[in-house]
Amino acid sequence: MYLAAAVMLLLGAAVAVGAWRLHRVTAVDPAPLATLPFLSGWRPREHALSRFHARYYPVTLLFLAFDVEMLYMYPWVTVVAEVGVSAVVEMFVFLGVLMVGVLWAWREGALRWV
Amino acid sequence: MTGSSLTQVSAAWVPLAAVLLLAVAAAGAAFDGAVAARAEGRPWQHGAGVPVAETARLLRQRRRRTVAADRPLELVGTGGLVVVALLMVVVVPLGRWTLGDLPVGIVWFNAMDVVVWALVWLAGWGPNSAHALVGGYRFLAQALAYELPLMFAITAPAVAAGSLAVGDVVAAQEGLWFAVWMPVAFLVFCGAVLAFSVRAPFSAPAGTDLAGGVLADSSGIDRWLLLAGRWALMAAGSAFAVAVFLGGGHGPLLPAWLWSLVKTAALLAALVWVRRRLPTVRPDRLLPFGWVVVLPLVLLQLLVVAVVVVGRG
Amino acid sequence: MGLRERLTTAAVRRVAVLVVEVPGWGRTRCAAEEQLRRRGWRPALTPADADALLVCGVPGARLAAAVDLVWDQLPGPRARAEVLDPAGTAAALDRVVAELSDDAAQRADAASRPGEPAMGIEAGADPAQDDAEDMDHGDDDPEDDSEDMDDGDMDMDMPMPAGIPLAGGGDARDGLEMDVLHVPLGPVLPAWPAGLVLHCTVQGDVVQETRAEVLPPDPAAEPDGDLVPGSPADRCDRAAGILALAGWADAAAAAARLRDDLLSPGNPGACRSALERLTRRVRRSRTLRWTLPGQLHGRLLALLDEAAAALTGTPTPIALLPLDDLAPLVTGQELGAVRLRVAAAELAPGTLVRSGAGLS
Repeated sequence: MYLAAAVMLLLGAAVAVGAWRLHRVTAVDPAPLATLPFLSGWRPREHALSRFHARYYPVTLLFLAFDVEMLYMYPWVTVVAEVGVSAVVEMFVFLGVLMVGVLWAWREGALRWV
Repeated sequence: MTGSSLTQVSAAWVPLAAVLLLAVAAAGAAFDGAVAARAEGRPWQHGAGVPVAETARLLRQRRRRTVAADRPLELVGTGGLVVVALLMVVVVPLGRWTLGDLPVGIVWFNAMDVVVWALVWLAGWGPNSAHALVGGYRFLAQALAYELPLMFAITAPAVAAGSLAVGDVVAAQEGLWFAVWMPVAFLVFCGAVLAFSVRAPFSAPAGTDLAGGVLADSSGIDRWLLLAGRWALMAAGSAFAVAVFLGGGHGPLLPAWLWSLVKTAALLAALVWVRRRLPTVRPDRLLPFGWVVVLPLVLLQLLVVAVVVVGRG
Repeated sequence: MGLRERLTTAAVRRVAVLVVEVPGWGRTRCAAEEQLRRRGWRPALTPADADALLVCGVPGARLAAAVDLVWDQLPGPRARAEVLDPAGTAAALDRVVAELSDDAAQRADAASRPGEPAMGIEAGADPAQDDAEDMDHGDDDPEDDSEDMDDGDMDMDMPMPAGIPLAGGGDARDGLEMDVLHVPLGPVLPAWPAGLVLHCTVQGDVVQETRAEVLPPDPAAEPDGDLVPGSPADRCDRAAGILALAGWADAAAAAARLRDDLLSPGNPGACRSALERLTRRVRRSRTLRWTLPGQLHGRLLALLDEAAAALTGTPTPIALLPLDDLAPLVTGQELGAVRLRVAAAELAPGTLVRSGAGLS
């Protein structure tokens, strides 16, 4: 069953590598052009790769809480119908608690990042 | 695996699935070009040839290697988008046939779409360019906004079907499509497809205001792979939405495989139309909206679906 | 070989052109954009995206240095053309397509390019001097004290790949130390005022400090002329820039078409109804209202209303923005917001240059 996925992965890689190979033949020059990055026509004063200030990092923590929650969500999906009301109540109380956390973070300004 | 109505075909059909996906993606790009040509006051036929002209242009154009670029990561980000789009369609059935009806097909799709986070960011990080770098980080901010709604949106059909296998989800829609009674989840998923394929209103990571953002410094076949990857992601997302929300191959008269294709093409066309109608939403606007408005809405949708499922007993 | 010819023919059907406007040649740039649209070509966003570089006007020394570096960044096949008046654009673009179609010449050009990147000059440097030493001291931000730290870091044993130093730290909001980048915006940038350079100090995607200047054209050249500030075409041109930066390509195309119709002697009645349609579209777009930073949606609508007023013969007087007032308008904002605010500002680089106010 996963064989198809493995074959597709190989095929996908072949498509990308094939495109690069084909380009060697069709391009005006197979060697890439060495160049500075585009900076409106100027030489950069420093390299762009740096410690970037991702000011939304508090949201990543919030995201992590929900992401871990998804681990419970997937198995839960398959048993809701069997277990019934208690499964729904338990899951949504849990989600409700997380959502309260989101609202608190929102009020604290964690979602505002500019 | 639960009993599903799908026939699993051998892995020898993988190339056909890949060709089909890329063909649908190309058709989407052609339609987009046609709509754009109309907006510029030219006949739509002129625009429909855009994918061919751009492909020829980029095949002929030289690649660029920026100074002190993180070359391996750049190549992974560049070539990876097409691969991920292809991997997405492994679990998407075409009518009654499927390449692999994984028991966790929905989780598989979810996993693939999360890989897009890494790939777009790598494409932005790789070239050592200020514009591309900001574009890459913009994508992460945007991803933080759309990913949870996306996850919960595709959980809703799974709850209704009581299974994470796409085949079971399709089978459960006989008679009534999930899009009909879970419209919020469907719409949110459509939005997420636009978001992970970096299309307006979620195109800020490749925005004009960043001189192309993650695309700013790529040329030649590298640029082609990024652009084709975005179209392929949009097509794969549409195909998946058809399977889990629009009844897959269910439909009258036409054969099931044709229904899958027709619905995918129609949804892709609708998404292209939406993307041309809307401006780009800045990620800093999107983030609070995604968390405080969309996320509770999707959770409510999920609650409704869960209650209905339990009520049906 | 027939295959290669066919590839070339298909490739030049939709040429991507990077258009550079020199202060004083606004009308020429508009004519060039109209030509591109008519031919089904498209403007390029960056040199990486471009097949051709079209320079509208005669740049002065510093502007020319920036244009030359961008020319060296075009991947190729590439063509370069200069136009000095609206009438010359069609012929220039014909030359471009002829050059791009010459496969042998393009291959020869590609083979003759050096294996080392063209280094150009830094945004603050003087092209007349040799660029080697100045870079560290090209003081374009006299107030930027983190710069001294950069220099200090560099003198120790920081690695300098390709002769360019690594980014140095600076205190960010939240008390973290995050790297500071110097990102000059302009002069070669789409939907950007001609010749404007905004020297930005950027942390993450927030512009911390800015200084604005306008790079003049060649003093010996006679500019062809800009759109008249406040005229309907000028209003539509600004609206098109804002819409393009807002990522709404179709509405931007509608505004640009309208501008070109207004510039050509034609049917004012048709223009008026097209303007009404565009205004309605912009007014109704909740997404646009939501995403544009403070008051810009209102400003955009005001531009279109001013166009309508000017069309009926009652032009609104325009107060041009002094260059020194630009920096306070954009400091502390995210890069995208900075781009939008600059596009909405009533700058007229051509006028600034003539009065000498933009010269640094």
